[in-house]
Amino acid sequence: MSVDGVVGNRNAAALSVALRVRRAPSERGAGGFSLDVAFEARAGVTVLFGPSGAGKSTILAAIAGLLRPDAGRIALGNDVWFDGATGALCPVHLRKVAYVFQSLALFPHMSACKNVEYGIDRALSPAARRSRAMQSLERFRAAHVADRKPRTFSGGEAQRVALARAFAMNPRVVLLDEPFSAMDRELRRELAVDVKRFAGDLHVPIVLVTHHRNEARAMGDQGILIAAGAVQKRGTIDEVLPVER
Amino acid sequence: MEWQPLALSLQVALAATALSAVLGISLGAALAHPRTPGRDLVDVLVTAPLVLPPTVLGYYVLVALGRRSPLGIAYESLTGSSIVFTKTGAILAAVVGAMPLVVKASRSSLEAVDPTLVLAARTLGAGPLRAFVTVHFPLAARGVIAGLMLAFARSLGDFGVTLMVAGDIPGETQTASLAIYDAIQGQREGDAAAMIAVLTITAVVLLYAVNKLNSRVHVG
Repeated sequence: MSVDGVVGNRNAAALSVALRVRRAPSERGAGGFSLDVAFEARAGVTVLFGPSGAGKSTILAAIAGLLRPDAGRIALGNDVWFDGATGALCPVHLRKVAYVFQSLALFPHMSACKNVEYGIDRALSPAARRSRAMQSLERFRAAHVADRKPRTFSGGEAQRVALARAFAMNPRVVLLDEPFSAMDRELRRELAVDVKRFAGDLHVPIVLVTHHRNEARAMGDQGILIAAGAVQKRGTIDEVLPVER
Repeated sequence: MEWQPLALSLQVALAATALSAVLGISLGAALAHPRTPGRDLVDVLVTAPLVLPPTVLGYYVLVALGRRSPLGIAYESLTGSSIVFTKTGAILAAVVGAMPLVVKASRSSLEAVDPTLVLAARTLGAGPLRAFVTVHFPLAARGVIAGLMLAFARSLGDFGVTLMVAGDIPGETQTASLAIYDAIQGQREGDAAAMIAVLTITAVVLLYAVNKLNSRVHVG
């Protein structure tokens, strides 16, 4: 069962991910790390659910191109971003993957509006970029901080600006790494609704990492359960995370 | 009171700081990059001038740039004058002492920038150069400027390397610190007093500004 009818969109390219990452145990005795997963994410929200340390953030980093897997293949539709067999690797900045980091990573020396403009096509005129940035800020109800710098934001405002920045760049894939972790419950629900609404309009694969069951159920169309570096279960969100009795 | 040595010092220090900025920031950025090969070795080589005796440094510069060195010959055939015992020599002598300060400051302040911010810039469509120019460097600029001010102060006061490489030619390579030495030697302490005062005040003011820059963590 899915919401919004986003899942059925056949025009959007699907993200297919197969990757293997291994890290040898460090000399200081920290455990080694091994991740071996394969899944597909269609338009709509795919939730990566699982305990911390399961490798969820590593998967996002590989999709964005911030980390090179040891083997596997990552592609969006016909565009191959990484292929371990041929050595093909598409650089980060050409992928158009919006990444909302857990720390949000807002640029501290730029106003909210400049932050959002940063990702907007530079072929557009400054006025057009500004107006698109403002539109995105308005959609996430953060227009009132447009000319302020991040250090003056409340937690919720920072979150909204980060989301506005991610969605304004016209991304082909959106990655959300625990984007609501610092929020209280009320705010979390409010933002989840905004994201869900925006996601419906955007028609691209959105991968959300969380270890909150309620958040996963509220946001997800598809679910993927990750534990110990492997996919344990995948399917619709109800199949993967059934209502607990 | 002789103003010429001070004017020359100022000229040499400005040129040396500009040259140190270009070389030092590039080198600092390269050293701050985790995948630069041989980082530790390069860091030691670049930092060595901070602790080596000026005579030893001066000797190396003479060997590298002297009239019979390949660089010295090339320079002379291009410009008709030698590097050593000219103003150019004085500038390069100052660079040797000043550049390590810029490299050190650039490297540490670039490394202090949250790497996630640079990665965020890349995911937003910025290539490596744009991410450096618009995000990474501006966030490190405060520390780099502090390094440049130290480099300027250091260039202004260089004595040993300048003497070895450029000599002590009045009007050509006799900077303020050399002129002070000559004045004291010649028991003309009155001539030295004004220059001593100017150099002292400049150093104190610069250091105060550097501390200010370094104490304010960040930006906004």
